[in-house]
Amino acid sequence: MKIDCPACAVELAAYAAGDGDSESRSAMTTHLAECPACRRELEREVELRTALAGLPLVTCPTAVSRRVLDAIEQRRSTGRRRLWYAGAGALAAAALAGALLLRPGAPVAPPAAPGSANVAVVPAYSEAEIAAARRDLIRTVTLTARILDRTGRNTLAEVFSERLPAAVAGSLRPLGDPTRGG
Amino acid sequence: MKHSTFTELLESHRDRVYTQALYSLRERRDAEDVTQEAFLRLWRQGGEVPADKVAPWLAHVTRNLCIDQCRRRAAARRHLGVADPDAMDSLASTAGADDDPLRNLDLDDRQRQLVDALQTLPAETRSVMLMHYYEGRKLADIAVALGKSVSAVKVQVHRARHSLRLAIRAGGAGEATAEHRGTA
Repeated sequence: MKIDCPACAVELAAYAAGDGDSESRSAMTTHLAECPACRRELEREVELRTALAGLPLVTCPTAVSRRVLDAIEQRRSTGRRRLWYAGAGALAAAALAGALLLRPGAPVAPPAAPGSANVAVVPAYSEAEIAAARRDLIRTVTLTARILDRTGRNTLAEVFSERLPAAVAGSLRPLGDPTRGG
Repeated sequence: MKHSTFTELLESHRDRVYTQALYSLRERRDAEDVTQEAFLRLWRQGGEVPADKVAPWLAHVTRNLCIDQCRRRAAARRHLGVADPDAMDSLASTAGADDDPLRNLDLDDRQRQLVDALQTLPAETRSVMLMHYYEGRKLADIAVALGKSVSAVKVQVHRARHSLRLAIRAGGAGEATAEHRGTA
């Protein structure tokens, strides 16, 4: 592998940094031994490297750290406030759903078609299903709290997206589910 | 991410981030803003950045923020119709009554010339030079970070070296700026 001056110029930074495979480094070494102009260029490269690498570290003003921490604290408190609203909203929805579901005798089966035999009215959901739905809801609200707290997301929509109605409804099957009696 | 963990990261990396931004932007307030934003983004990651990757992650974010800031400056120049970038910089400096942030640093003449000359490079080229020569990152790693081939980065560094030399000869600005203007 042979290398000319223009190629050597392009490879100088990598060569001076110790990068590159052995073949290309060997070709560079051979060329530099033969070419005074490229050797001078390598000296300049080393000088540039030394000067830039030796630039001092600059102390960051402490006010910047304070601004960062203040901004985070502000977002966290905003998140907590929104979490409170989110929790309150979810609980209100849960209370409403619970009131509707647990109301004695409700929901009822659709009215029987005229002329058909009377059918017994049964609760739409079993106790186990309602308990599962309640657990789902609690899990969702808890998860929301964690997400808001850890990520600094600020809105319910960011956390729930389109899943909010499903979260409130829990794992209850639709009332129109044909597998249910009625 | 725990608040205490984040505070430790902030304390241990802030000088590095600030220095990178300052050498890249050469303006104290911009460097402070970039530093602040870089750490806010780290916090928003919520601990998803592995501990041993925080430094390169911050360097990468800082580089991008600096490039964005340079683009905003360029857009402001175009908007205001300021033909000479140096005039814009001196205008900003005067308006902000901002001291030269590098004035009190222990730089030798060569380093001061180089830092001035770096400002004449396009933002991305400047960031490549700082990543390689100041941060010591390999050209292959830089190529991966920028989504370029290693050859393209080598050529970019070679041209930037040439531009720096021209800029130093011209007193820190001028020829190199003319060579690169429009590519920033």
